[in-house]
Amino acid sequence: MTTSTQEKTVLCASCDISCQLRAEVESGRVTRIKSHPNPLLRDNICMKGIYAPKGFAHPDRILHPLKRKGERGSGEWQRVGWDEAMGEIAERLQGIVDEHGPEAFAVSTSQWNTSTESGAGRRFMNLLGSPNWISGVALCAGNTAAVNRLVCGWFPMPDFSATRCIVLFGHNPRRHSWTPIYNGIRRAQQRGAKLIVLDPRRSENAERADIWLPLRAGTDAAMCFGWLDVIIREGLYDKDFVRDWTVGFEQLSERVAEYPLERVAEITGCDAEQIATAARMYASHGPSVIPWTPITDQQRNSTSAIRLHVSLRAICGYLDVPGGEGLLGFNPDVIPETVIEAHDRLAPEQKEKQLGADTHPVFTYRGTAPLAEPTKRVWGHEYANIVMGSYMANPSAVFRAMADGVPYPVKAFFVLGNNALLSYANMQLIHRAMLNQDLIVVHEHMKTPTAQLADFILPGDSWLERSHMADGFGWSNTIRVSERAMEPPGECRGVYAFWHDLAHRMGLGEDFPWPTVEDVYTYRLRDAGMSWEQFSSTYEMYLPEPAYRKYEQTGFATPSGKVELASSVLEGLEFDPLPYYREAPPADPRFPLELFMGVREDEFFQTGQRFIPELRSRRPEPELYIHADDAADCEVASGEWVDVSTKQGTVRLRVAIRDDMPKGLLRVPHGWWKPELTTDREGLSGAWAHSDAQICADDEDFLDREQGIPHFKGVPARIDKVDLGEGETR
Amino acid sequence: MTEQNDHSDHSDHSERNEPLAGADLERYTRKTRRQVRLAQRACRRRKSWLDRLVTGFLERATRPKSPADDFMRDDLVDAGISFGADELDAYQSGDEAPESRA
Repeated sequence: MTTSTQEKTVLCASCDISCQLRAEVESGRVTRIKSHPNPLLRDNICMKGIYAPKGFAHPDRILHPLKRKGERGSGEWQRVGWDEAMGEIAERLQGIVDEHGPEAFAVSTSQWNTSTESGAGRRFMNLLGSPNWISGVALCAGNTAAVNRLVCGWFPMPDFSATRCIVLFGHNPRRHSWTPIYNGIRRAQQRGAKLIVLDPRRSENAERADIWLPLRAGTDAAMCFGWLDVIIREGLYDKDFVRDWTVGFEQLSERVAEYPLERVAEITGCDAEQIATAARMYASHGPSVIPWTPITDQQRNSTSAIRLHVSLRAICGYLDVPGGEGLLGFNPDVIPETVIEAHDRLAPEQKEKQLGADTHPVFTYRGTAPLAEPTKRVWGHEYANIVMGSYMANPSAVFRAMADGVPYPVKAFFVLGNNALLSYANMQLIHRAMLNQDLIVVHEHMKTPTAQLADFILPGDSWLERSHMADGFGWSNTIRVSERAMEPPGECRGVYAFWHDLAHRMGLGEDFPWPTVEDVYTYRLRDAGMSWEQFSSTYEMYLPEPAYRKYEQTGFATPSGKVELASSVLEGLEFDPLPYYREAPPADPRFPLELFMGVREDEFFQTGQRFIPELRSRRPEPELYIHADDAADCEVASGEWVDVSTKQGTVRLRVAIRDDMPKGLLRVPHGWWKPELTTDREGLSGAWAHSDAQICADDEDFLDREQGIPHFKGVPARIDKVDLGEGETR
Repeated sequence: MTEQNDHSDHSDHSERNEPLAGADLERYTRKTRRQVRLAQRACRRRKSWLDRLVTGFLERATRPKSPADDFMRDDLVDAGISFGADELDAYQSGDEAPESRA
């Protein structure tokens, strides 16, 4: 290291894990990202973090505000100043609010790379009067958090350090994907912990598992019933906990009896005795953990399956015990982001207008309202927006309102750090919705397909260029520090500055008294008695002391104060209070295969990073993973291109024959577009050719009933070989 | 079901390992609180001699027993990839993409 090199502690936002890393800075530039020397963080780094300095220096990065010149999507832009852009945005948004009401304004954010807004976005919306906030967390962790709250009042966090058995429902953390979770699993295995993997694919974790159950895609809920059948029949549950701390055990047992092991074996395609062996291991070899999994998040029976995960944890006595799953709550010394969000300031009549709340209410204001009092009683605040997954509108309902004006028009759509067009089901609807907007504002790094349809593209900062006080999206109570390692290039600005500026222009300035996000951090640290400057120069991580079985003093943050195996909240919303398994619709002979969608690859997180040469060269094309027998049946070979079709649409992918795929199941990667392709409205940089969002349906057959999130695991499909000229991919 | 792994030890699962409770839990909680206080010292920015001592202890305690046990080793990570500041500036201005330095 030369004498001119400095080191800064940073939190990576290249994916949603937020690894704490070190940045080497030379001449005002971050030149190297490396793992943090703290032994607690040993080697938690992946290729996406390592290549980030080059990604953020990409010549196509947007460095100045851009305003659309031609028709929407024409690719014609003019550079404007921030003041001009923000002035016009504020004026046009006010006009839309005046004409249609504040609910005509919707926002979509990824939230992992915009979390430095520190709650400002929701605060702005709540003060303006709009409930229509959506995010990809609706189908990835946020929804799990909301459903967990229904059952046990918080989103449990696995204790990898002391667990004796880990259960992965399809999740596949690897060295370069969800790295700290991979690290935690491997360390636990070195200590002797068991690993049970339930995955139709022979994944890396399946290879290392003690038991691998290759269940049929999308049958997680049925599998959980099989486990509960064994555990209850054989009395392998914690009888004291069930007696003292649950409600609905008898009802749940009756429902479980409808799913005897033989029936579960038939639904899941797994051997009944193997299912029983796994269930016994989970219940007897504990404390066990079922870490959050994006696989269960994205199924027709997601709400039931997530509730069944919590039911397993609860009846086995694994909630809030060492080696089980902790209910961590808020950090007592830091004002939670949820308070900044000011959900109490949104009028009840505006909350009632939240799109999707009437049909799919679980993570909306309506669905979470019965948890307000219990949350206040146990965790000290009425609102607990864990992983931003509570108080959301339903994405499909928002896009329908944008496209068709039903039940009311949405005419302004702001998208921050989120490639919304590719991030939800039914891209065709989202595209139509965006074309029907009066104002689209995108805060981004690159001209993504979503940005290409905007009125304004505003240049966003990166995680190297800002400070951040992170609380694990409200899920963890450890507070972590990220320093600004370099100045943002050009005119790039953070999301907090955007909301603060807009609030002041729209008459909401009094409620945004903090000029910078660092001032917000200082406010949030009030109870710790430190400013952000003091805090960030003292700590890299701020760890609360562990506590267990806290519910013995406080009860659970549910209406009954107990774990609700039969949910009073769902019953009040006129849903089945018990979990269930809903079969897929009858098979359609036109679609004889099934898709496993929503899969992230090591090189990319969601729709990002495909412009970084080193990462793209490792995975230049979107690949369809297929079993050799299916490839032979369809007369396709590795390297050839196929059209993959569902009843929703078609995407083009390159064939990769893989022996880790089961026969009949095809893996489709998530989020593909090609930044190097032209940005015309018809092509949208390859999104129309390759984005999986256009083969994901969002009609009722494919939606979870309670949440209204789409089914991505086990979607009927077919493939058709396409003959292309040399170099053609579409 | 020949594809299913079954590496389990087939030990008798008819009895449960009960999660910690009562006095055992109190002892465990005291122990983990001590550990967290030590970990907090490793997370301080300006370390005292005691902080450095504790960090060194944690470093040894968490170090893999042998290179073969170190599942976090990875060629790409271990290469220590970096870029030149001037080259990154030039790249952002439209010049050639910088090669990484291992």
